Amino acid sequence: MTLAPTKRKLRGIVGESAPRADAPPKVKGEFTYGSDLSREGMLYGATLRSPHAHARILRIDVARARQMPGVRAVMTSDDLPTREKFGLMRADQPVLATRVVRYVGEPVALVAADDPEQARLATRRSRSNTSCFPRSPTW
Amino acid sequence: MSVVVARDLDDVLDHLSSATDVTLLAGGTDLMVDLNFGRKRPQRVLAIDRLPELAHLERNGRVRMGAGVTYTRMLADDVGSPALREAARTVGSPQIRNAGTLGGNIATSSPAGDTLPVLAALDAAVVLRSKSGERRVRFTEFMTAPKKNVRRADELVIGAEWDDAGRAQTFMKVGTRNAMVIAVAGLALVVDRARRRVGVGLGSCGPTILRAPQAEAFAAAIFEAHGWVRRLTPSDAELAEFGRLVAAAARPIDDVRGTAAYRRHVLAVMGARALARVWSIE
Amino acid sequence: MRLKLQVNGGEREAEAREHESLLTVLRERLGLWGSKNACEQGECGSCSVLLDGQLVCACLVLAGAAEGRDVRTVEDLAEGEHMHPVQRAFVEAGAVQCGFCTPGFIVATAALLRDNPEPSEAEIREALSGNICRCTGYGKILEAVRRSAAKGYGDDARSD
Repeated sequence: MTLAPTKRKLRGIVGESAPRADAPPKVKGEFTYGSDLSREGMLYGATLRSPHAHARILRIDVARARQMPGVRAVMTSDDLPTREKFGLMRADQPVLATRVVRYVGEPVALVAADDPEQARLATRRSRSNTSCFPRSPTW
Repeated sequence: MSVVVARDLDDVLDHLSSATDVTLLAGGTDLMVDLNFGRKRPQRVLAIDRLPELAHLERNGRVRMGAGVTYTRMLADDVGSPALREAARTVGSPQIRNAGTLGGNIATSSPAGDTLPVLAALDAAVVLRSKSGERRVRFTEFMTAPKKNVRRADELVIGAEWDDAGRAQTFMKVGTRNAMVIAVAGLALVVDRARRRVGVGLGSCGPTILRAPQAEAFAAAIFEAHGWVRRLTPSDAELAEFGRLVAAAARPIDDVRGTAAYRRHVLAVMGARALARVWSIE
Repeated sequence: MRLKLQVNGGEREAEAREHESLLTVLRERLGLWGSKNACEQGECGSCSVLLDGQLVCACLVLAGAAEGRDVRTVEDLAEGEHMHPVQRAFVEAGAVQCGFCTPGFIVATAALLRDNPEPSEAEIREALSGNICRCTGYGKILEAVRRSAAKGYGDDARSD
């Protein structure tokens, strides 16, 4: 089997198989992904997500979560500076669910805390009352 | 929460007899998932994965395997049970097999534990030790319910033992993937030609690991009639009947991984295949 | 608690909370961000490291239980600018897209070829069965492994 030489000079542009510039740092473990970022004194986030596929949110109670030591902020849609929606083709997705959750995993609240453990615990201490819509017949 | 790395076996037994809240940690493939997700915060963790006293593996008519033997070590040819080797190969991935241990599988006592149907079919004994001594419990009596067994809080599973049953053994498992899969159903078949015994162990088909005494008797009768050392081709009818009896011994439920009906179906298929496979192995 | 362990050939010390995994210590305390945290349950293999020479998921190793042990991460493979042959093979074969799974695959491949320098196709697949990739469809990854296992590959670069 013939092997490609290790050093390749680009002779032109058209027809060349260009080496991928980000591949060497990635194979060496040196490429910085979002979760590899770290700064002194940084906060850690956790997300409270809906366990229901389709439900009406009656009430979200984050008071207990806000009181936990090390928890710096807990946000629901009430705390957002805007109710604007986002989306790829169509801006129809809320940042945080307001009155209705529409998929399992939809973000309902955000927590920022001094360490990841506290952030996760705070999502568990948040309470929400929901009323599930009837499920569609299986198809 | 505190973490202590055990120095030796006596150290472990001292801990277990002086405190009731000790959580043992070997390969970590079970406990660490709970720790990572914040589901458990055990008071005291005692790491026992480096104890040389748990790493033994002897074979001389009777096989004695230490609780610290990993699935990777069980992949060796001379591990003392071909069915155990086959079961170990179905566990997880290389990363999981390098960490997970026989003792972990036994002490966790999950109905889906892959080595457990083999231990049942081999009629293996679990060896328990405490400061007050050592005892052996038949595996079929050791596990009493899902994730429950008769180990006392002051006891450590130090290994398992069984009679070397020869080469006519196999293990099969049904799951959704070829790796990293929890069994939907598992089956171990051991034909001990020298001792004239057939053992069948069923996994993921009941609250504990089940034996199939009628299937075992049926197979044993055929071997008895034809001779235990002869290699024969069984008839399709015999294989099908054996499969049917294996499936009939199961007490499966519907759960996230499959239905009871499906489990019975695959057990019958696996039973027939398993017998066809070992029939010709000397 | 204070931990002492051998990491990539040198003695390192680190603080660790009792519930933390070796993966957390490697990344957040020792600055070795190459091993990734994706599933936290030993299913994806992106945290694969060698512990006392054995391929394991660092997320399933309790930090406290790693005291005094030898750990090798993806960062141990390259020598300065020179990539390890396995790393170079992944680059050349086009086996790196988002790259999040890549360190885990590279460590798993290095461990495979160390123990089995001429693996069969089935052995390659089995050896990598603990590593998941969402981007490539695995084709180029398998090519990269075959490339790095080929006779003579890497002779001109450093060998392990």
